[in-house]
Amino acid sequence: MAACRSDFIWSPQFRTYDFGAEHPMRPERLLALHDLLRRTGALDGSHVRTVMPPAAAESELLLAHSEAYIEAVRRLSTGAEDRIRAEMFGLGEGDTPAFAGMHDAATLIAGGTLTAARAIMRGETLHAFNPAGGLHHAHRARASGFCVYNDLAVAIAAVVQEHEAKVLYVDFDVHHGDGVQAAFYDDPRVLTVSLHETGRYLFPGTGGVTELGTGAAIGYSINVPLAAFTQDESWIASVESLMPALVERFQPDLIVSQFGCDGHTWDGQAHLRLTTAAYARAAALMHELAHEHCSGRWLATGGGGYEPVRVVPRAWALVWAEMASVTLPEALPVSWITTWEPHAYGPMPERMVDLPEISGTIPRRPMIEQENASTVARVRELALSPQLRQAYRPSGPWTPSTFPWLPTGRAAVAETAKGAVHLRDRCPRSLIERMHVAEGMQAFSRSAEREAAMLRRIAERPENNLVIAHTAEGEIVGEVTLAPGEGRWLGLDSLYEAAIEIAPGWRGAGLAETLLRFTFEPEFAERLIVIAQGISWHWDLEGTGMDAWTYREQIIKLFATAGFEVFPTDDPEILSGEANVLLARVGKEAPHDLYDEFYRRLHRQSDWIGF
Amino acid sequence: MLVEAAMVRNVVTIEPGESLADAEGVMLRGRFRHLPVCDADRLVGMLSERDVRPPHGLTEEQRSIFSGRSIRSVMRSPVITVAPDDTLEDAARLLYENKISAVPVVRDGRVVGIITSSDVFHTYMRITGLVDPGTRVELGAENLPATLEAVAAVAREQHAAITTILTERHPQTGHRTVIVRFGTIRGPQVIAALRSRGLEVHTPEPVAEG
Repeated sequence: MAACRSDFIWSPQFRTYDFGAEHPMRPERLLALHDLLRRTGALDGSHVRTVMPPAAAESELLLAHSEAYIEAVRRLSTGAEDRIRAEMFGLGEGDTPAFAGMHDAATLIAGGTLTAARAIMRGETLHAFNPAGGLHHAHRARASGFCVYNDLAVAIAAVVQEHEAKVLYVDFDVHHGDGVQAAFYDDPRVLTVSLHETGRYLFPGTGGVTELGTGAAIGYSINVPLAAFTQDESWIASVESLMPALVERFQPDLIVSQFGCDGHTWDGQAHLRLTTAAYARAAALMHELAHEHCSGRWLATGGGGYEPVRVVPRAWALVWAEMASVTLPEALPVSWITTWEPHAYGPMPERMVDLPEISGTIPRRPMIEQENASTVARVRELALSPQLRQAYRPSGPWTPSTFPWLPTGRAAVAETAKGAVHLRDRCPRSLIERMHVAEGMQAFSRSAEREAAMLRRIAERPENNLVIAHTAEGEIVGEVTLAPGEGRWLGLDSLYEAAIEIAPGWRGAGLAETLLRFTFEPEFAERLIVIAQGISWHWDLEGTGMDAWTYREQIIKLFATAGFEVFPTDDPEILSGEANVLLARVGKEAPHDLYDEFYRRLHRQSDWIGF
Repeated sequence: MLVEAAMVRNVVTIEPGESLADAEGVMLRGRFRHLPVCDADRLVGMLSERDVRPPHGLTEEQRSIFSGRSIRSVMRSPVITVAPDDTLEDAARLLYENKISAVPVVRDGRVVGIITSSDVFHTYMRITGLVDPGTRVELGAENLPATLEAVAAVAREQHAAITTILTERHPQTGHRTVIVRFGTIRGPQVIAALRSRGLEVHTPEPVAEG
């Protein structure tokens, strides 16, 4: 493979992410890696850039963390004593103790992964590696397992928000990638895959094969818990048996892989028996799959790794060498060995790639291999067999039958008179949580805060379809909601009610029309009947200079562009205002009995089924 | 743990004079399957989804007769209830022994909540520590007080929070085990410290077991 443009993300300040001399996560591991790459010439070459990243901005951290948590990290970073707050946010004594300068150190790491992801998505580079990144245990409002800010979740969320992209996340760390999985658990745009030692004896205890995702994203979290004492051969076989099939089905636009190397046999924090050869093989596979399926867009990060000198520098040098197509010497430079030997926890290795012998003889090996093979078979069945996947699916017209396999939401960019907006359908709650609602969008809720809460509630139900228009900065400027019919329409499968709202600052730019067209573009919309009620007291007439009747005509005209027509009805809510109107879009393939029932219910004196 | 902590508040109720169609509508809209029936705030009965749903194969006319009946004529009465300050164990046993999946929580004759088997199940899941990140450690514990003392000492010296502790006697062998979840990623250090105090820690071994 020809050498591809690759960014090495590096800052001398990475060393400031340091929990103290007694802590197992050593900053020396990064310095020893950088030194090894320098001494072997792996950072030279015209296709390679060393990029010093800026720290992530607060608005970027908010993509993955709550405001209260960021505020707590900031306060505790000044050395403030606040035991209760520290405990509450996972920053008390123990795994992830607060230290002076913690916020800045963690923000820089998040900025590194974010910078790398953006450079790749903009086409400025093809691959990028942030060895300081990979802090996959950090949760939305809680530090955990040595991780303060989740750089991976920040970067992936930014990519999903700024581009029409699907992201594949692959986690090779020995511990389950719980923080990243949780961040995108309901989002089918992000497929998270974690291979780890089973949680039966190891932190964080989660990561079982049945953790598959939720709502419309069932099947978009994949977990492969491997047996303790797994060696290279079985680990590599598991990776190779799953990854190509998953990548082919998912068709990502970016692959993000976390290369925690704490599964190495010399690492004291877990019980796998891998060698550096396993990480080199996994990196080669990621590289190959990225070129085969997503034009080479591949981002890698570091992660766990607690043999700071004997393992981490070699494992990650091999990842980088694969990425940048650099040939490393078989033997480690003697000068490097003597420099770093004082920090080693055992005799220094002499080779870059370990010999298989170092992982020892495991008498239970055949049993372990069999156990792993059956775990992988189970994962394949759950993740790749459509019948089984449907058994886990919530039912409803928006879910299995109307969607082909892997029903990720659609996305598009639309140019309007007021600028470009991103359009997305089937938005999950987590996506809405990361965005904010434009001022004045409150016709249905009377305050922007309540509007945001309302959108989150709509998004969290898989039977609804929330379609939004937003800016690249994450401001929601328009929305269409589709929900099963209520009131007299209750209980009719395939009958939905639509509602639309556009932010005041974005009206008159053709956005409403664009959003409606986008909503009803998919073929399955032709199998539905969708109603829309024009109720005059929801109308925001202020500043339009229109009376209710003129506005009514505007609404009819607007919905007509998406195929809606006026239907007379005796619905008291419609009859209660003179300008009110009931519109409906009868799909070209809507079943006859659905249409008959719809027609019958248009004229019903009583509100419920009419007894 | 008390029922109060696990129950759902703001219960939707219905009056006995309303129709089954009304009840079905309320259940569909609220997405629940159990509806306490209250007459002027007093609990008089209980309805479940299968009581209100018309059987398949009815003609429209028969359906209308079925759904037009009053709730009073089909509701279950008297009602099995729990009190908010009953223990969760009481509620679990009540649900299990009566083969029901929801029970209203009543204080002074008024419904203050409802608790379903899935609420109980979820609470027990939380008690096992399943939802918190941590390291699960299984210990042999023939001398339970000594084991717990050592666990507490190790947790203190290693700054490893104890998330949950469960203990059980094996129903066949009679051996007692203690399962502790420590809220730490530094499991190996904690296990080493437990072993150095003479505790028997069950961890995977590279050689065949037993």
